[in-house]
Amino acid sequence: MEILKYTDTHHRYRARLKAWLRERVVPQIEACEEAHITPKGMWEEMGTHGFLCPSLPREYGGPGLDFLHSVIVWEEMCRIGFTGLAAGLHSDIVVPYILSFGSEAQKQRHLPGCAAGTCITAVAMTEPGAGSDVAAMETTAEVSGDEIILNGSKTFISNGVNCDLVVLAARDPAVADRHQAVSLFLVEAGTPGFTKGSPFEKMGWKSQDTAELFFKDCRIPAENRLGEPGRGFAMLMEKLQQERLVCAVGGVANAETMLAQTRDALGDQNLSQAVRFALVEMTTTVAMARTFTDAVLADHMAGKQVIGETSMAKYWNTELAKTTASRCLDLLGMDGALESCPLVRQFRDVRVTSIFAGTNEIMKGIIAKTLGI
Amino acid sequence: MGIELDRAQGQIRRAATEFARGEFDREEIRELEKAGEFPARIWKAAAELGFLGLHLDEAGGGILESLITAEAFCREDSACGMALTLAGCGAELVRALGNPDQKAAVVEAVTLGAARCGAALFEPGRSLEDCHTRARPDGSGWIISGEKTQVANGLSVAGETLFFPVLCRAPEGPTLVLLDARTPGVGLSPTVRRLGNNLSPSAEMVLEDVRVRANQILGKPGKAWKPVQAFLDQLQLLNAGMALGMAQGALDRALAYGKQRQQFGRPVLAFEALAHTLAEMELRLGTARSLVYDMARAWDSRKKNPPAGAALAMEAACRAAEYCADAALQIHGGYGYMTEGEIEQFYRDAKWLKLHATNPSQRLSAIAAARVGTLKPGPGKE
Repeated sequence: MEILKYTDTHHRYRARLKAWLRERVVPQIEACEEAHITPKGMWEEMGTHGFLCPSLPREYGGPGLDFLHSVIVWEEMCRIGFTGLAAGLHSDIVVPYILSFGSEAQKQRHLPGCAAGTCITAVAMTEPGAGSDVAAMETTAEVSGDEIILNGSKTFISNGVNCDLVVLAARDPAVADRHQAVSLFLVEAGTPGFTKGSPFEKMGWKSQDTAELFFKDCRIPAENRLGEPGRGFAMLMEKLQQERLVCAVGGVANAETMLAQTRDALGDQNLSQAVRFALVEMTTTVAMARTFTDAVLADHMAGKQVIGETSMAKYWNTELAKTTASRCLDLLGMDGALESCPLVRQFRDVRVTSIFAGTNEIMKGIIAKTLGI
Repeated sequence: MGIELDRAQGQIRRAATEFARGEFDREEIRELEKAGEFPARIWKAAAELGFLGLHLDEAGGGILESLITAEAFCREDSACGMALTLAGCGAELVRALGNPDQKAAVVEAVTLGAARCGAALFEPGRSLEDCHTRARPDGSGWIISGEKTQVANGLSVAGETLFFPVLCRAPEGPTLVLLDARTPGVGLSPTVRRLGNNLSPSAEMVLEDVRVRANQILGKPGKAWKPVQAFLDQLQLLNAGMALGMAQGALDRALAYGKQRQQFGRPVLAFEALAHTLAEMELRLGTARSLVYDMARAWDSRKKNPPAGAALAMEAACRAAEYCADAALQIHGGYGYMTEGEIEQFYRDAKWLKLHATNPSQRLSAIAAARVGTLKPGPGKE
């Protein structure tokens, strides 16, 4: 049932990545969880080894590999249960905005750093009052001569503290239509008027520096506009596809990882029938999810339109990760409820995945539309 | 709430609710939860007003009264409610088996807030039946050695005495010994942080040739199994009460937030999918509550019918709590995932509670065994 055509090159890349994660990242996870942030040096190291922006073309400083290399990175991050390096977000969600919509000058200026890990990126869409309802955003971008003045705040921004470059969504107050008013802008860290909050304290994703971003009379040059004016909402919706695909792959990889950890903890011998059947049921549903997900990935790579399928996979797999975490803990009992048990961090981490990148209620709305109901 | 309470029980619920609203300081609890510390101030205040261990009082109420208190406390705060409810965890064994001196030293002190108690039953990676802690006869007394895991109330914070009924294996069979934290040879170290119940930190206990006198045995040597089962039933009923409180607390918060949070120009609970989620919470909580109260009343009236009532109650309530906390978190969206939002703590605590003392598979086995009995395999091959 091999749907994705992994070659020896892919296998070697995965092995190299696994070794790097084991040696350089895993020993630091505890410290990152405590600090609510991951050292920037780890990003640079990741870039040096060619694990950032795998599919970014060589002309922009990327490794120029195929998309499956990105999938490998997302999966292996899940296998070690590390949320600090939101590399899927950086490499395969934010950087593609610049690659797809950026001017040649913008690409030349930012992309080599993105691949090297010296320029960590974030996308700032969500606001306190605009979560699922993206178009309700209130952050404004006013044109003033050759400058744009930004005012407002964004919340729950991944890589929020570490980011060197933000793709910011803001609306032009002069445009009445909520969707037509939104444009995207590139804002560099250090721009006067742009400040970052401290990392949020959260149930999980503790190594991840999720933060608020504030813009107060923040002036950026007009050439920092990304793509066409008023196309911001459409660009966001287009790129959310790949973000949801990242979540879908993460969900199934998390579920696979948790099952493996549970089996490690329980051993293979002397299991009761109830435990064996529970493991069988979970293994079955995870295998089904894996097959569907790989099929969606294959279609996505072939350039097919998979909006509904991607939303299905995001919704299903993130729920699957949540219920698998919960059921595995049920099997482990009191011994499993200690933070020293790797399942516990996974249980806390996966819970947000049915909320972010579009809640699963939003996913169902999208799927309903594609079904014509 | 739809459950009929008598006048005294209604008063307990009102008083406990009022106490929790007045004394459970959110900021204080959040800091304690992060640090993993016992809420000593709130515990003392609860003891002064007589909220602790209502079911331990010889003249007072039954398990239902304590369950009502546990529910009211956990509705206000899942972690603080658990810490208070479990502050005397195991004193039930002393009440059932202790001599008058032991009862005065432990049961009374626990209800007065002068002592805390932790039943030391479980051992790392072993089932309760597979108890490796040994009690060897030594002259007129005993020598105890072994280790116990996740012993409730294993660390003193305010100079209070800590008592531990310890399950051991003596030549006569399962035996309970009453130790306190100062007994020579009793080693206690903090358990690592847990998924939930972090206001009630527990300890890992190492017993190295602990010498005890004959009068430290609780009940008769070799006869501990039945009283331990009865204690676990009471604990499961208290767990059920706490779970109901968490489910209700999650529902309260989902309702308040969902009516106020606007998206797409209306409150999020105006969307049918989320409104039905709220209805589902109500449904699961309501059915669980009826069952739990029935089982608690049956316990208090000494009726053991239906059998495995405590397991039924705990499983139903913990499922409701798990569902409600999860649904409340979803209704809260990203805010629900933040420490500031309270719901994430309910979510962790509800899951922890579901695994406390018994796990779901053990409860289903207990419920089935009570109905099915022991069936012998037939003559055929497996």
